[in-house]
Amino acid sequence: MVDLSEQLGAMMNPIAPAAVMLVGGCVLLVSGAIAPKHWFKSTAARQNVWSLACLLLIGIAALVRLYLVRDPISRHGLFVWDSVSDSAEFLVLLSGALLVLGGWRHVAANNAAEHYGCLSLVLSGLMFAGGANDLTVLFLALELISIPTYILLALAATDNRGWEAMLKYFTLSAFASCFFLLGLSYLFGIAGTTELSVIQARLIGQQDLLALVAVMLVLCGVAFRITAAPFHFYASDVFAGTNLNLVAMLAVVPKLAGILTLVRLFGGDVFDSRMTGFLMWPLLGLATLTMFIGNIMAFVQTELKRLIAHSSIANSGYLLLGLAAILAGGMSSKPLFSYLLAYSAMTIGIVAVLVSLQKANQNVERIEDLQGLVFRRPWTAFALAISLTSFIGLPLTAGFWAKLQLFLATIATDRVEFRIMAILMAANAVLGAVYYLRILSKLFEHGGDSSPGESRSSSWNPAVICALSCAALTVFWFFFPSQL
Amino acid sequence: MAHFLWILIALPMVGGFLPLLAARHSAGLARFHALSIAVLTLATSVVLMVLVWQADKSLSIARDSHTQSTIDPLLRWKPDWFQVAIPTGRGDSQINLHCELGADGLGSSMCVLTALITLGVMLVATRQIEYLAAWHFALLLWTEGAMLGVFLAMDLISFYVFFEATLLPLFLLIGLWGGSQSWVAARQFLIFTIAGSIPLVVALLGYAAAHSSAGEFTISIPELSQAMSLRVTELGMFAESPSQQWIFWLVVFGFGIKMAILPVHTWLPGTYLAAHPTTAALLAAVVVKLGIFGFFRVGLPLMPITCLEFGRPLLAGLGTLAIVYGAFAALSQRRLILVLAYASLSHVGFIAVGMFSLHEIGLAGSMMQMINHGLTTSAMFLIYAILVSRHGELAIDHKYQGLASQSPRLATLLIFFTLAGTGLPGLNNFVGELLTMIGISHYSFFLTAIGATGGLLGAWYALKVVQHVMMGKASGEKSMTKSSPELSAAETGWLLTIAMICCLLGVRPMTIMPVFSRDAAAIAAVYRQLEDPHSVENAGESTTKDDNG
Repeated sequence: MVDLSEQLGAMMNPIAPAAVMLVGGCVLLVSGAIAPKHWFKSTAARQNVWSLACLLLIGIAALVRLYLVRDPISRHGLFVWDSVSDSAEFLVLLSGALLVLGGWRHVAANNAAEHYGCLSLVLSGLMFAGGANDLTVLFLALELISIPTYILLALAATDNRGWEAMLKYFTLSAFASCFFLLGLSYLFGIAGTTELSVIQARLIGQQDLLALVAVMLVLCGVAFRITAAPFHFYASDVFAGTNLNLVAMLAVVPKLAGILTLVRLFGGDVFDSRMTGFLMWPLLGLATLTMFIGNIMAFVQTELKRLIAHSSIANSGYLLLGLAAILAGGMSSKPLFSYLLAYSAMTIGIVAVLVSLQKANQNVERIEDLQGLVFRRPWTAFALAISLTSFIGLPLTAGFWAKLQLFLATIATDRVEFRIMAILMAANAVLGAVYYLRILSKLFEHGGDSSPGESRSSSWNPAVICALSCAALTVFWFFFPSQL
Repeated sequence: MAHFLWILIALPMVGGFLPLLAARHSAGLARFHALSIAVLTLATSVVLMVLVWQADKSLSIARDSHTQSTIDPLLRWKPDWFQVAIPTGRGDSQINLHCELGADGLGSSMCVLTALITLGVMLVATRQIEYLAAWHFALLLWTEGAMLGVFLAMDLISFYVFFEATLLPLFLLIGLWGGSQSWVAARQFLIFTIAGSIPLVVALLGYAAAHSSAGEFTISIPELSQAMSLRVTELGMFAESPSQQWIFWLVVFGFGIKMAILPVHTWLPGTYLAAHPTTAALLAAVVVKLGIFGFFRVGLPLMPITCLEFGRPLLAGLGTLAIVYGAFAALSQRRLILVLAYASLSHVGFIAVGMFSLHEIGLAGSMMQMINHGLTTSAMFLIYAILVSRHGELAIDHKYQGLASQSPRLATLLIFFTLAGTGLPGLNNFVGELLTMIGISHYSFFLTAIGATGGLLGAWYALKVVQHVMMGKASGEKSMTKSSPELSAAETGWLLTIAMICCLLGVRPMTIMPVFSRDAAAIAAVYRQLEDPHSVENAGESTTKDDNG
């Protein structure tokens, strides 16, 4: 018996924070169901209690992460703890906390417990994916992300657009999961094992059709999650149909899941350039298409949620390019996580600003609604401006180093195709600047909605805190890029 | 001593917050704080230039141009903590980006110019801008700090960071205080410059990666330039591999947009038109120089082969074209600000021509012309700003005649600076333009002839402005919009100072030439070696000949 618990301990050691989140998420779900409704008088009380509970849970997981002694090179069968899982944990806990803060007042009070329970499960799934050393674990972790996401979308659906968004995401995601699973089965067929390190070793130098099919199927499944073109069509509708909380989550979580999956499947800590073979060109093709489609489609958007959707598509393109470069150059996967970290902070920051601007029965939906914001609410406008600057990639923001690292990785591979890709990415960064600037200059333009009814709410607003802390982080990372 | 480098940058950067804090008490206090920070910055920059001067004199004797790096700052500040570790690269290794600041002759004199012009812009703006005045001052100071950073950066990354950091304050300066179309213009300005600078960062990283694959990854411009001049000594025309030409083209594109070289100059007129005239003064006098300075700091010393093979024919040609095109465009404009904008474009052409003559005299002339152009252009734009605030829109039209009778002192000063701008002998621009023309004549007499003709055209449009706007009878219908005094004491003082500097540099260019000759000789040495590998060069003195006749 002792032996068994020791074994379990050793096995769970690399992914202990994920396990904490998993158990905590279940507790939240169950306690949401059994907690008597009359305990919480007002909706605000319900929001506060469950948000605080989720934040507490994330805090516990963070403490476990801080104080647990872990063997740096442990490869305990199913799980592994290395720099990838470490960055993934940090990224997940940080963006989880920011998501909770940003959505605090925006979550539907009636099913706040379920919302946060599902969110916790999603976060734990991400950490499991980060620490996976086995095909089955990877797949289960991805399902642990997908299934609660369907529930979250359904919980948030209040009108037909919401249901459309939920159904679209559900059917397409399930479809993508099938492709992904099929791909995994081929990988298993090639290697004869589900252990990822063995599969990677077998894939090196593989040129046959079987491996190509396997990789293509896996890429299809992942491309859906990270909204890479041509699998991006759902994104804009789903983002526009759901509420802001889920916009932030959908912009960040599936992207992280997809990149983690690719990193775990084909590289890990440090990539092996001998793996490049048939993987590089599909990745480059996806990256080019995604960058251009995301940025060009974002031009014509006037609705902020759709703009965020397309901006997230474009950013997937940069990430895919970075991944291809890292793969071809046999480099460390760290730049991808730096980029994701910066990207999460800016995206959640933007959405938090939008949440904080919501008035009763009225959403901030279009770019025009932000006109003259800096004169009405200087602090929120300031936070939004920093996030947008970071998206453009100007200095004084984390986005600068994030883009710089991707560029550096792309150039350091020292191959002609990557030089061209670096220039294409530069062109896309300029295209992106056009629509971010459109919002940025709107903030400072005079006019817009300045109805007297909108007094500056003196009450404590977590969304503003979230937006400001995202902005502060973004600036902090510029001055201390080693923390990124 | 080297601490002056970071103090000079930090002063306006941190000081920019002072007017914002002071604005809570009164607008006057904010103005006072802003102006005192600007004056302090100017004083610091002058001290820095004097320090560089002293260091130059003590060093100037024993100099071996073979082993010397092309960019050789006399003051250097490179603390250990001033570095950034980026975990990219092969395996687990980190790339250390060790930043450093440094001042050479060109950089320090550009700092003085920047501080001087910012002060002037601020003095004029205090009388004209009341809306969010504290923010205006803060943004001006931040822009100044970032520009000073560009002139003092001695590594590729901090150069680029400062280069980019100018953009956001300028965006807000153009947008918030401009005319009706100001936000469109601000966006256009920012998109154009970002379109230039993102390829630029790819190029700079590519350069650092390409030249450090053998050993350590370095971004230090002195080290990279030294390595390059050693390679030139060893390999001659094979010092750069042809596969790295793309870097050069991206650099040309990036800096070219910033300096508004001919095919990519289209952002310039619209931006000047929409921005507040004082902001336009800052843009024309200093911001455009950032691109030119980029060539001096990064382009010429680090990519000698491509600069010689492609840069010289292309950019000297485009520069000559810009001289003529700018002059003709200025002739055809009716609105005074556009005349000034195209005139400035034309004068920037001289700088480009002198720079890409790649000859010692031309380089020194080009550096001097950077200062000259900054002085005269800023003065002209600021006088324009004051005139506009008194008379409203200005154009070459019979409606606007006879300003001289209403604003006599301004008219006199404008005529003086217009003449200085056209290169009247005895004033500063003449010396610079002459040196650039001498420099390019070593490459092509054809370009010299065209460029000199363009200079002639300059006199035409300048005199046309003087004739149509200043002279004649004042029309009754266009009366003054404000009855404020013509010039405040501070404005008068500033404009007279600039005028005196113009005279001084015109009559005795030797006062400033030694500052540049060292930098110009160091850059020119590489090119001389490339063009004529067998010559034993010891012609460091030739630059400072008195060209004043």
